[in-house]
Amino acid sequence: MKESQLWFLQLITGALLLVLAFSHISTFSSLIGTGYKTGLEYSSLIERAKPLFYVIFYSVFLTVLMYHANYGLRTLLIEFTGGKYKTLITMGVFIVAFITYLYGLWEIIIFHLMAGGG
Amino acid sequence: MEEEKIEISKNVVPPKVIPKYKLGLKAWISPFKFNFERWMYTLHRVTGVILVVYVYMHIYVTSIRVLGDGTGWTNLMNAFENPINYTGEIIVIAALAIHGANGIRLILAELGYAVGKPIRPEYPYKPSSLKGAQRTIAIILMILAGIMILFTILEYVPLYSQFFRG
Repeated sequence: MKESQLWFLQLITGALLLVLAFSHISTFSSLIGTGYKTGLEYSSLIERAKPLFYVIFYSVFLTVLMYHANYGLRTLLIEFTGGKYKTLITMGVFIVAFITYLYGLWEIIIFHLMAGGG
Repeated sequence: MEEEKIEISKNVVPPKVIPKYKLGLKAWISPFKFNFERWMYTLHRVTGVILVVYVYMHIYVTSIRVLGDGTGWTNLMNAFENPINYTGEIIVIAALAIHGANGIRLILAELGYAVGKPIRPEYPYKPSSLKGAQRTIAIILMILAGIMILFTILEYVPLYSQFFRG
């Protein structure tokens, strides 16, 4: 992919994250959601993970978040090194991000199944 | 009139100038001589780093909920009930608010909204993108981020108070 296309994706994921991250955080807010303590109780987590919507929402959130965060990280590392090691940085960030992404995705699905969804 | 002869020595060593793109971290942490937008640039990067570190930690730490029957999760949450952790969480949400608010400004600017009309670069040159609507949008977004941070702090006040009361 061209750099311009990667940058455009960064803008789109950034816009999506405004909605997704706000929705995620609002769960733990007493103004909108259940509040900090109740929201973090294990029984509360189980309750939230039951519907299929949980898997869809968090899979999309994780995908968008990992792209945005790691594109940003890659940009910073390239900036730090003055443009040197661009390929090495891209590969390194991609590998770490992809492993973490798969782990996160696995965790979302497994927890949904543990909660009795599926 | 006699013209002054300027001798150019071939042995003069030109001063070592580091190109801006090679300044790396130095360019981030010395924004004092720059304008409001330059501060936003620095804040965007600093908050971005905070958020990337948090995202990686969050993914691996929260995975404890799938390992076992929930005891591990409950113990972890109990261990997190302290002012250091609360402060860390406030910093993360503050970073998110600033990063998100400035992100809206960047998206608008990238798409060409509120950047003003191009003008002739005549002295004293001030780009139209750094005044008027663009500056107003930036200030409004930062106020919104500030409100979100304030609400977050208010959300944590009872938790701090509960901890210190025991």
